Amino acid sequence: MIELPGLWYPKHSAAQSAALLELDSQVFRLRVDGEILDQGEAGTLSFSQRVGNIPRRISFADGSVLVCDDNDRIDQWLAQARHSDQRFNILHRLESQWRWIALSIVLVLGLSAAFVWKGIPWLSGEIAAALPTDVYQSLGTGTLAGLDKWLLAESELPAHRQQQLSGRFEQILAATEHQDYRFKLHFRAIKDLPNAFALPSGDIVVTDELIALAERDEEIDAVLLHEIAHVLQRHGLQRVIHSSAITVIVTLLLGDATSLSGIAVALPTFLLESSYSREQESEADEFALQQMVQQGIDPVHFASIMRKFLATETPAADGKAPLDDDEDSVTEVNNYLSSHPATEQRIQRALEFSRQHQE
Amino acid sequence: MAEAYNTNSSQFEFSGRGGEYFKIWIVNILLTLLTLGIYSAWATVRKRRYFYGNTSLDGNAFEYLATPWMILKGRLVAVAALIIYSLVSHFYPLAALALLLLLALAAPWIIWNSIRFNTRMSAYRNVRFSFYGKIGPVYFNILMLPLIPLLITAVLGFVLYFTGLVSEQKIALLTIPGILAFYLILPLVQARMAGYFINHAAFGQGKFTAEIGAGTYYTTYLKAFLITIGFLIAFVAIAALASMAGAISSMGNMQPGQMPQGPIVAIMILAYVLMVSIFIWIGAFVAVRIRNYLFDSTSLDRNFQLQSTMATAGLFKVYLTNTLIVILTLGLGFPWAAVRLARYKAEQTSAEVAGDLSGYVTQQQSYQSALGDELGDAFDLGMDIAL
Repeated sequence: MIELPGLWYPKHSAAQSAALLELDSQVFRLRVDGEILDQGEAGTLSFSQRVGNIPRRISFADGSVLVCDDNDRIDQWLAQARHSDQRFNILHRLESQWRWIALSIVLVLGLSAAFVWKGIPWLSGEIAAALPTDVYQSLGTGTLAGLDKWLLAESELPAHRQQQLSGRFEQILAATEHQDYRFKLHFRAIKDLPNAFALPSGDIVVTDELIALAERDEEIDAVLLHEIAHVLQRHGLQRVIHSSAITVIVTLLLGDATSLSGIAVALPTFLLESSYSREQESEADEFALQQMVQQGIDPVHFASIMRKFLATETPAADGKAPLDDDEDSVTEVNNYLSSHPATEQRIQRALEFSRQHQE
Repeated sequence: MAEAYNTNSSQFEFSGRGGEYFKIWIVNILLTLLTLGIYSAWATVRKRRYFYGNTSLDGNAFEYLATPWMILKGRLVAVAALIIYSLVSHFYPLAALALLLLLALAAPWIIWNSIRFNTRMSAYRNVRFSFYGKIGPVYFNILMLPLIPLLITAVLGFVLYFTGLVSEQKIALLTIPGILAFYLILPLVQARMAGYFINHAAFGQGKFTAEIGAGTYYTTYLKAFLITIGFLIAFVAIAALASMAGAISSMGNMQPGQMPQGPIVAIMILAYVLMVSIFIWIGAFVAVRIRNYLFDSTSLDRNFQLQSTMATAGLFKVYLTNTLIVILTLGLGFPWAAVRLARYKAEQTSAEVAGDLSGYVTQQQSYQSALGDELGDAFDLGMDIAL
């Protein structure tokens, strides 16, 4: 038999009395001031789960409660008496033994790392690939109209030039085996912004400023192939999945870290999202460069349009400002901050392909 | 009674320990990961029970009584809504606007539900806290009040437009005072919501009361705003000086516009650290002023007066060291940070009681709703957001 000293409260009442709960494996007896107040089968008692060393609530059938902080004795008794509330104590056992804690630390770090670096990209890739092409075609039908209203101006490119470029677009597109996607090239203008971007539906927008920047049509081909890759590899949806997954995970891990400071949460979120984005850009670059080699367009043109982006100090394709400079030590830092890989690296990669092309 | 005039001060105490909470926290995370987030409801309950159960007043600990199932229900609804919203907003921005409108309409209900839930799940000495506020004021304070300045500007704009007295461009300029007024009214919204919450909260039969005005909110935000502006100006000035110095020193052998890279990185990092510290300081300043004001205004049956003695410097020190702990340990130090914050808050909180605290509390009984707690819980979504 064990004796648990505690404070006893009648149902719903704050009036407390010092009490003693006597427990053996079958029956309990509750004493207040030495007098027996209640007794019965021990199985009718219910015990709150143990968390750390906070006081436990032991509830009686009549709704009264004994609060007792002798956690170890309670747990001992629960185990001996095989009380049904004992089954939850597994959580406390996990939480109180350092070998389980050590294992938890290793598993949490490992799982988070694996999930962030492999799991999220894999999951978003699978989901994006599983959706039928029809869904993508219907996605964002309103997006271009919205952009036209707020951001894009009409193209001032002469009709014959538009036709000529659309023709080239169809040609490079035909060679990419794009299955059943319906691609369409749109000409628009954004002041001072040589740019091109793709919508998940296969609508690709190129600005007059970009066409003016390019000295040769092969340079435009390079940019368009990069954008085609984003559509075919379904990067748009993947990015949505990435950012929702990261938000959920960081919130889960740090919980109400907002009470600490937003910095602790915002920084890892931002770093991870730019890391995924950089991977997508590299993927799209690889696709574009391979296609150029296959289609007999010298990848050197990819390098030359990149150089021009760099010179105008405007964002490369997709309208996100790359923070990269060609200062080496800073590039090292910026690699982790930038949404695009360093332009110089992209140029070098293109030149490698170019050598391959010439051989 | 003579003894009613004696006031006793009772100090809140927090007895949690970082190492102990770390073990609970890491198991919470592991099981949450392994169950793909479902365990998070259990994790929340364990975390809350740990912090409530380790906070005590007059030797008696607080209790958190929610069950994980209540919280799980609320979370599932929230996650479903989040997924739908993020997909829709990405692909159909216009439809997402409609969803946002829907969310705006639901927000007061969610907030009300959350206040009610969290209050009712808290207990002290076997007696629950409760919240009996009606939903109407939440809609008024959160949806109507902030819209009033915008509505006035819109009406004014229409009138001016149709009378043709003023050109369209000048009417468009009206949006500036409109938006300004919107921001100016937010402290009032906050003050009214705080007053609404406190004045409809109860402990047993005891009712909390507080006269909350918006004055403290306005002076606090004004000061925080002025300090921010002051720092920003100082910042820009220093940056300008630094870049001038850089330009002069690099004139000889470097290309124009290029600076030595070592110093530039160091300056960037230093500037970032300084900025973050300033924001943390301002965060602490606002939190301290408002908390002290609210606590010092709050009493229970005019028998029991809360007191908060926080100081900006003290809270700033806790915030700053906590941020460092979390960053330097790659997040693993979070439990220590959370415990330090809870301990600081408890240390700075006390209650003045007329007469005997225990004597007063003893008279309280849990407020019984007509439906009974069990039925109430069944309909509860366990919505749980921090205000």
